[in-house]
This record gives sequence, structure tokens and C-alpha cells, in this order.
Amino acid sequence: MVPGVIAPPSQWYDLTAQYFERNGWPLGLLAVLTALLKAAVILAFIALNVLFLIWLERKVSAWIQNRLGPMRTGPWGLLQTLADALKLLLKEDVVPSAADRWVFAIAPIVTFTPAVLIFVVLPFSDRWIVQDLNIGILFVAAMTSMVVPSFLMAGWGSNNKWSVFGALRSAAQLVSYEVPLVLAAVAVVLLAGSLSLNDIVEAQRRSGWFILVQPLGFLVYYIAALAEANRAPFDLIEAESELVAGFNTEYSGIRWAIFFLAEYANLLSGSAIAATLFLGGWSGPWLPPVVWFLLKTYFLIFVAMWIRWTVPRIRVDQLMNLGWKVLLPLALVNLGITGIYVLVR
Amino acid sequence: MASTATVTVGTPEAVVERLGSAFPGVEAEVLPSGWIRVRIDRERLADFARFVRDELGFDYLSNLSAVDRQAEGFEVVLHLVSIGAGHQMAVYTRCPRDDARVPSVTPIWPTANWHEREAWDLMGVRFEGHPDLRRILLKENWVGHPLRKDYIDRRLPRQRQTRESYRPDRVNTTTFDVGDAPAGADGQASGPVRRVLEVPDAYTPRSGVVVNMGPQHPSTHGVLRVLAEIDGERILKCEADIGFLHRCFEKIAEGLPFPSVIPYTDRTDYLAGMTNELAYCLAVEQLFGIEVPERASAIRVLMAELQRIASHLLWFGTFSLDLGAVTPFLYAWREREKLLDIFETISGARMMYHYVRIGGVRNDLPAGVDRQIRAFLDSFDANLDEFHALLTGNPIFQARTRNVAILSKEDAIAYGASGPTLRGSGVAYDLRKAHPYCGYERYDFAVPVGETGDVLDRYNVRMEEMRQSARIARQALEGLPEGDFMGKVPRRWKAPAADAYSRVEGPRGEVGVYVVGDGQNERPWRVHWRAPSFVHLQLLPVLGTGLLVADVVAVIGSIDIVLGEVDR
Repeated sequence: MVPGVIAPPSQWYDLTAQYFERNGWPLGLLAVLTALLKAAVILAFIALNVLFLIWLERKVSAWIQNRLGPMRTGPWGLLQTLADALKLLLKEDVVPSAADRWVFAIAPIVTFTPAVLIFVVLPFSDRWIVQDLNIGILFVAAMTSMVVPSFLMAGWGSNNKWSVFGALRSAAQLVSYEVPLVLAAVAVVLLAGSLSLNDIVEAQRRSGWFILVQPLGFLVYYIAALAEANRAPFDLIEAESELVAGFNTEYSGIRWAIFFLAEYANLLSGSAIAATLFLGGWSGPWLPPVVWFLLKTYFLIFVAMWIRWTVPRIRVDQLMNLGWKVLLPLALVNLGITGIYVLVR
Repeated sequence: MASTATVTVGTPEAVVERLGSAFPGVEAEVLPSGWIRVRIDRERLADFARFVRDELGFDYLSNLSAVDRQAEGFEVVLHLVSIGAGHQMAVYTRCPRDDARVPSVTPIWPTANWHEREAWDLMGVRFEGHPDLRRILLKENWVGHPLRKDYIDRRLPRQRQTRESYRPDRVNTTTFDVGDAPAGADGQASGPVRRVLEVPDAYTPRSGVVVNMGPQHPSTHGVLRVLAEIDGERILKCEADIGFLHRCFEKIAEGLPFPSVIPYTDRTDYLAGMTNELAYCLAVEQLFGIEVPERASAIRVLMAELQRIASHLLWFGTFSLDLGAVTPFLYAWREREKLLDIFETISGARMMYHYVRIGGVRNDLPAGVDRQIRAFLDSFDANLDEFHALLTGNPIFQARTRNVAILSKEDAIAYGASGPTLRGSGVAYDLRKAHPYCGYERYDFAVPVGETGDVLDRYNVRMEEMRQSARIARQALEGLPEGDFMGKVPRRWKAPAADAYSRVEGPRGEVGVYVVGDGQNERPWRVHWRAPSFVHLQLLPVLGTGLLVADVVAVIGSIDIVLGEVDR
């Protein structure tokens, strides 16, 4: 590397690799360091976004409910979430005496890990992607279903009837809505001809946003994604008026905060994937790709918040009916039509 | 059970005549107030009850209470109503002290179940034939019956529960050291014998899982414990366990001069203080024969209707919370806040008013408050439309409430439902129309009625009631007569040896107050509170069985209970 000359970011990795080779350092070390750096960036991205999202949720709910929301901590209450997070960190770590300690302790981590892993395949822009896996969508589906065992662990480990109740509801709900979710995504995959999320965005740059040709698929996908993220009206897992707090009834302090973090990380990733699959992802004129990506993601997040603060909660049998009797047939019909279209195209 | 709605007997006099021929020797008379007063011996009470329900159309048991008559034993009083004909009848029966047993009327009026349990719990009258005569307000191992005049409180000082004294293996039975044995019939302690009571838990599961919904649970509206036996999400059996908030209102009232009881009435149904004060004051005025000036009556009507709106607004908010919609709650709160400001301007308090007094009200309406009330009423109709827009039309809301927990007309009457819960089932019975008080007959308003008796009907009835209440409030405000706000009340409250029962249409249903005077003291001999929430809570097993857990929350919300009133 020549001092004083800053290479374009696209060449940084190659230059660093040359530097490693010149010094005789193993390239494996570089790979580990790069992975750690990427992980740090992703974690920071998630943490900052979740802090902002929680603030936004409180503000959006306040606007909808004609009140102000947090106003005291920082300008417009922007630092309120930070203050809350600090409070949660400082709280006593309470574990119920009858709880299954190990399962209870691990559950939040098991929830959080797949929530983070989804971000591995998210294309923030044409070049900003941790790992452009050629099975991107499959990976996302696999990671989202990892949430089920973690909720079951939390519910079972708490040794509380309401927690088990919430956990079992979550298993039923997530498994049911996984099916239409994946089917709706498969239709997009058929159109794009690839499982890679970046290829799907590229395909939309050529042919226009998939929401235009897949309005039904988008609707199914978005509703199922709301259910997957446990957002109202599908927040039965932690329905406070029925189950106290569902699977996380016994959790407090930092453990509870991790659940909360994972929930908002899931909202973020779910909206980002919906934006990628149907709204053209990072593609768009004039603005930098990453800005387009965030704009679309945040638009979908706002819609989710809007829905949450407007509608009542659905009942568990109605939830199952909607999943199996409405969304699944719709998704199948959509997939069939898309398949015929791709065949004759 | 036999359909009773069609049986009606023309006049109270005709009822007395029929009674006289069917039960020779029965003391029956018609009071100037229109109430029929009947004394019957306890041996014939069961036959009598069946006769008046099936033959005379008294299908509705408003209240059942017991009075300690000391040497003359206990007196059990039934307040019966014929919804079709509008007759009201008070039935008195006595039992001796040493044999305090009376036949149960629960088989005839299912609503008597909890009334009788309460009378057993607090007065120690056994109801023969009652299906489940357990204590209801006090804990199961309580010793003695506190409303008996010879009751002596023998509890030990409260003992701290420590980690060592906690016995997880004893979760299903409770062992208590009850101290000295209870006093005998003569009021003397029967010696320093220490006893240990062992009470088996009454709630052993048959199958499925038993969950405790409450007493700490976000949607039980206070400290209600619902024991639900569930199979998955479905309720196999559920039962309400109450008494966590019992604060001896009736016992306290016996130790206070008549006017000093009023602040305690605010705290029974703490969301409708004005209505409770009104119900108590009406009973005492009836007992003493006090005339209330017209202006005071109009102010009372105004207050009662504004109170109804405030209470229904709170119900609307919490009901939507129960269904998982948070936003309507805050809109309802915004409007309720204006009402509380109005109450504060008038009475100085936002919840515990102590404003309605015996003989009138505490003070006249302060200058300028009429503008405040008009401003509220002017915008209220539009706000109500906004509430409907927020919640009523929502498909999820409709799916959650339509055809859920249907309460049939017959069940509603048999279980003593009142107010919007009764009218939601299609019975157009409103005390303001059926037995007007405070000059309600002068106001023009409609009584909204439901059709199927599901959660949605009860919801719609309450929503429409708010509109009607606003109409009444406006009429009361516009037609406020000039004059005194306080009538002539006695200097000394020497109670006549009589009793009085007032029935008032509260926001939650019929608030009944039974006041007994002893003929010499300034204090009531007995005050009994017929709380609508207490009666309605009996509906929970009726409505909740077979539903889903989420529906039970909706049911509790739709019968609109206040635990302060249930437990008193």
C-alpha cells in the first residue's frame, strides 16, 4: 500500500490480503478478522436501529392515540430507549426458583442468534452484503423457524402455566404462518430465477418491482410476516390481556431486554426482506442504494406499527383459520399462476 | 325452568289477595310506596317462592339479605320483582338464633346463589338445599360470622410468613392456627382451646390443567381470581373467586351515623361514586321520609347521567384493551378526563365525591359549570361516532364479539342480570323507566335493547346508553328548576324501627341499598349493598364454560365488573 493514497473501498480487502501475504500471516486469520468486523457492524446496526425503532414505535403509537409520547429524555425523547435499556441492564437478574435454570438462561440467546443471522444475507446495497448466499431465501426461512424452539425453551424453562401457554401458541402460530410465508416467497423466486436476495433485486431492476406482478403474493407475505414477528393483531404469544405476558412472563431485566431486542430485530429483518422481495430492495433512482433500502424498510415498519395501534387482537382459532384456510390457499393459487406465467413466458 | 314472562297479575292488591288464598295466615300488605310486604314462616318459604315465581310472575330476585334481630333470631329478606308487571315485593322470614336455617331459594332463582353464600358467610344463616354453601367474601377458615351483633373479633395479630413457614407441600390445604375457639351462642368465649382448622382445597382439577387467572392478572379488572380448568385453549369449567378486596363496608356502616356512611359508598363501585351515593341517600330518605327539593333531584339526575357516561367511557377503554386494541382506550380517557374535571368543579373531588347528601346535594352547581358541561355535551355525540369508527366496525372486533357468550333472556332474568347486561339480552327493563326515582319520568330518553345477548349486543347497548345519558343530562341542565338544593333533614338521626330498600339504575346495573333502622340509634342497624357486579360475576361460569381463554377476557369485559363493588 502506498502511504497517502486511499484506495476505493472495493479494493480494501484485496489490498489487506496482499499485506497479509507479504508478512507471511495466514489468510485464515484475515477471514476471521473480517467476519468479526462484519459481525460487529451488523450488531451495531441492529442495536442502533432497535433503539430507534422502539422510540419510533412509542412516537407512532402516541401520534395515533393523540398524545405526545416520550418527550423528556433528549430532544423529542430520542434518548428514552437508551435510558430504558440502561435501567434494564441495572435491574436484578431474577430467576424463578422453580425454573429450569439452564433452559431459562439460554432461551433469550437462542432467540436473539437467528434474529441476527438473518442479516447475513440481507443486501443493504449492491455491494453491502455480508455474504451473498446462493440459497439466501432458504436461509432466511430456516432462521425464522429457529424462533420456535427458543420460545418453547423460554416457556417451558419458566415453569409457569401462562408461559407454557404462550410458548405453545407461538409454536402453533409460527409453524402455521411459515407455510404461506415461504410459498409467497417461492413465487418471487420463480420470477427471479434465483434464491439469492441480491439476484432477486437485480431481477426487479430489470423488470420492475415484484409487488406490481405479485400484489397477492405481497399481501400474503406481509400478513404472514406480521404473524411471524408476533406483531398485533397476531401478538397472541404475549397477549397481555389473556396470557399476562406469554412466554416471557417470568423474564425481567437484561434477559427480557434481549427478547425485546430480538423482537424488533425480527421486525426490522422481516420488513427488510419484504422490501427486498417485493419493493425492489436497494434499487431506486438518484439516492444511494442503502438509503433506498432503509426508506423502503422503514415504510413497511411504519405500516406494521400503524396496524398494531389500530386493530384489536385476533383470537387463536381465528388466527389458525386465517393461516390455513385463507392465506395458504391464496399463496398456493398465487404460486400456481406464477408458475404458469413463468412456464409460458 | 318454566317460562314466567307471560304470567302477570294486575295490581299489587290482587297479588296480596292471591297470596292470602294460597297461603292462609300469611301477613301480606301493600305499602304506600307500592311495595308488597309479606311475612312468611320459613317452613313454607320454598313453596311460597315457587308459587310467586310460577303463578304470580315474580321472576327476578333483586336482593337477598339477612338481618340480625338479636333475641328474635335472624331475618332473611328477599326483594322480588316481577319484570312483566312491575310489582315489587319484600319477603321476610325468620329463623331462631340457635337454629339459623332457612330453605334455600337458589333452585328457584339461581341468582340467589351468591347472595345466600354471602349471608351465610357474614351472618351465619344456613340455607338448606343450597348447592354449594361456602364462604364467599371471607377466607374459608374464618371463624364466626362478622355481621352478627354478638361477633367478637378473635384473630391473632398477623403473623409474618417466612421462608421456613412456607410449606410447598401444603399448597392444596391450608392450615391455620385460629386461636381461641369462637364465642358460643351466648357471646361468651368457650374457653382457651386452641384449634387447628384444615380446609381442603375446593378446586381439585378433574381433568385438564387448572390455571389461575388472577388475582394478579392484567385483564381481571382488579383482584378477581378466575379459576379456569382448561383443555388447550378451551375452558372446561371456570369459577370466580372473590373477596380479596373485602373491606367490611357493611360492618363499618353499622358503626357510623347515617350521613357518615356516604363516603364509604363512593368506594364500593369507585367508578360510579355519584350513583352509589344516590342509591344510599334514596334509601335513607325513604326510611326517614325526607322530601328532596326538585332542584336537588335534577342535579342528582345530571350527576348520575354524567357519571354513567364517565363509567361507560372507562368500560369502553378497558374493554377495547381486553380485546387487544390499545388506541380506543386513550380516546375514551380523553373524554372521561373532561367529565372528571366537571365533577371536580362541582364537588371538589374526581372520584370520591361525597356530593349527594341525604335530603339533597352538598352544594349548588357552581357558577360557570353549566358552560363546561354544555361544552362537553356539544362535542360528545361526535366523539361517540369517533369511538364507533375506531372500534365498532373493525372486522376483527366483530369476529371477537358477535355470537360470543350469548346470554339468553331467561338466563339473564334468572341470574339476576341488570342494567346493560340484562338489556343486551333483549329485556327492556330500566329502573329509570320501570320505577322512576328523582323525577326520571319527566325526561325523554330511549332504552336501547340488544337482540341476541352476545358480547356485541352488550357493547352496543352501553354505547347507545352513553348517547341517551347525554340527552338526559342536557334536559336536566336546561330544565334545572330554581329552588333549594337541600331539603329539610332531622337534626338528630333517630332511626325509625323500619327498613327501606332503594333501587337505582347504575352504570353497571341495579344498585340496591337495604337500610334497616332500630328505632333508637343514630346509626343504621344494618346496611346491605346489592352490587350489580357481584350478581353479574355469577354469570361467568354460565357464559364462560366452553369458550376460549381469550373469550373469557371478553366476557369479563362485557359484563363490566368493578371489584371494589363485588367485594365491598
